[in-house]
Amino acid sequence: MKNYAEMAETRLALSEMEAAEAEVVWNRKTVPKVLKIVSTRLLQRDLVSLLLVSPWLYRSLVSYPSIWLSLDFSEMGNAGNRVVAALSLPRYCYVKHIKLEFAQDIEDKHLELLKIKCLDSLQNLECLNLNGCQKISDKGIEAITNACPTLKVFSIYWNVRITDMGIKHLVKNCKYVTELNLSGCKNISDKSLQLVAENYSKLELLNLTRCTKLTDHGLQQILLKCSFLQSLNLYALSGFTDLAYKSISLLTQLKFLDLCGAQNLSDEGLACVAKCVNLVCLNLTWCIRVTDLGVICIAQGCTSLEFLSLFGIVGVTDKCLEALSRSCSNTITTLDVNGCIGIKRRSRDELLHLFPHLKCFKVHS
Amino acid sequence: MADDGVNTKVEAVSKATTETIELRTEDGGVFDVDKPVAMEFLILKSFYEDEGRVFDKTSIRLPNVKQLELSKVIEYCTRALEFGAKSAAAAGDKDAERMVRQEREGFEAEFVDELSNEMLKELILAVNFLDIKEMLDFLIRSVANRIRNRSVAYVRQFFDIENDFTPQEEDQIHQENAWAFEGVDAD
Repeated sequence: MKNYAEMAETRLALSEMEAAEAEVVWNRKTVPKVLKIVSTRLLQRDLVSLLLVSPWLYRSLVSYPSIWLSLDFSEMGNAGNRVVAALSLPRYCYVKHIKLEFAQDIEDKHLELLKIKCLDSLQNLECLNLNGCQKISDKGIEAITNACPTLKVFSIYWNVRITDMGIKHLVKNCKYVTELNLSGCKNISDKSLQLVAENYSKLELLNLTRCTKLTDHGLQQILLKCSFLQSLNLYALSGFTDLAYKSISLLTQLKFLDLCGAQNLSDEGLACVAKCVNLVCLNLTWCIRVTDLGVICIAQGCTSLEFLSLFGIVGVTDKCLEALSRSCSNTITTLDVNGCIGIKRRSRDELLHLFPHLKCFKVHS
Repeated sequence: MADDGVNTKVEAVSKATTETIELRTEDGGVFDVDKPVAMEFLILKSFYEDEGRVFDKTSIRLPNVKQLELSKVIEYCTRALEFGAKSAAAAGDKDAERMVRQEREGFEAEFVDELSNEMLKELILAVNFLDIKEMLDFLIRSVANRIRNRSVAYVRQFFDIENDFTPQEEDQIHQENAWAFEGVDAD
C-alpha cells in the first residue's frame, strides 16, 4: 500500500526539480500576474512606470486590456495635449473613464482633436468628467459627444460657458446617459431640462446645483418624465415653488434629495416629498417655511431615512424629532438641527437618546 | 472576548477535535499545523481531496518553502480564520462588526510593517506556491503600497528584474508616456 507521505513527497519533489526553471517562469509569468492585480491599486503614474521596468513586463502589461480602462488627468497642467497623447496609444483603445477634473489648459480644440485623431478609442467611453474645465464651450461638447456615443456618465460642473446648445448636442449624440452633473452651469435654462426629460427617461442622477435660470416649468418636465431618478440635487435653487415640488412624489426610486435653500417649499410640498418612500438622504437646510407638519409627514413616509438636515429651520419643534424617532431611530446616522431654535432638547446626549445610531451632528457650515 | 497572542512557533493544539499535519520546510523547520489552517493551503487541500483519502497524521515536506516564511504564513492564516469566526459571530451587530474589522486591520498593518521587501517577495513566492488566495490578495495590496510613488529603478530592484531595454527602446517608451508624468511636457 502506497504511503501517503511518499505520494505527497513525490508530487512535491517533481516541482522541486523544476524549481530553477520555475524561477524564471515565475518571474515572467507570475510577476506580471502579480502586477496585474497590484495595478488595480496603483496610481496612474505608478502604473505607467511599470512599463519602463523591462521589455517582457511591458509586453505582458499592455496585453491586459483590463488595466488600461481609465485615464486620469485631474489637476494636471497642459491636460489637453496629454489626453491626446495618451489616447493615441493603442493600449487605451477600450478606455471607459476619462477624468479631467480641474485639469488646466484643456480647450475646445483638444476635444475636436480627439474626435479627429482618436475616434476609435472613444467608442467605449462610458464616463467623462470635465468638472471645472471652464474653457470648454458648446463647441467642445459638440465634438466630444459626437465622438462618444456610449457615454453614460457626463459631469461638467462649474462651467458657465455651456448653454442649452451644448445640452442639445449631448442628447443628440449620447443616447444612454444615466448620470448628468450640471452643478454651477449657470447658463442652463428650462430648455435644457426639456431636452433631458425628452431624451433621458432612464436618468438616475441629476445635479442642478446653482443653475439659477431654471424655473418650475423646467423642473416639472424632469419630474414627469425621468421616473427612475435616484438622486436629485437642487441645492441653492430658491426659485422653485410647490407647483413643481409637489411632483417630486412621482419619483418613486428617489434615494437622495437636496433641497438646500428651497425657501418656497411649504409643508404641503414636503408632504408630497414624503411619498418618496425610499429616501435615504434629505437635505432641508434653510427650508424656512417648513414646520413640524411637513417633517412629521417625512417621518411617517420615509422610514429608511439615514441623513437629514433641518439646519436653520426655526419653525420645527421637539414634536417632529419625536415623530422621526418613532419611525427612523434605527436608521438615522446624520442629523443636523443646528439653528433649529424651536427644538428645545437638542443637546448631543438628548439627540443620541432619540437616535442611538447618530454619528454626525453637523452637515451645514 | 480577549484576544490571545498567537505564537509564531505553532505548537500542537491539544483539542480533542483538532487534528494536525506535520509540515517540514526545506531548511529543516518542523511545524505542527492545525488541519483547518493547513487546508487553507489549496495545494494541500486539493491533494487530500484528489486522493479521496481519509486524513491521517503524516509528515509532508514543502520543498519551496522556508521556515521563516512558513511560520509567517501559519501566523497569518491562523489569525485570518479567527477573524473569520469572530466576524461571523458578530454578524448583525454593527458595533461588534466594526471592532472585528478594526482589530483585523490593526493586525494586518503590524504584520506587513514587520516585513522587509525581501521577506514580502519571499512570502508571495511561498503563498503563490501554497495557493492561499486570501493571503495572496493581502500581500499584493501591501506590494502596491510599497511601490506607490517609487522610481522605476526601485521597482526593478524590488522585483529583482533586470533592465534589458536598449537605450533606444527605453527612450521611446519614455516619450510615448511622458504625458503621464507631471513636470514633463507632452508634445
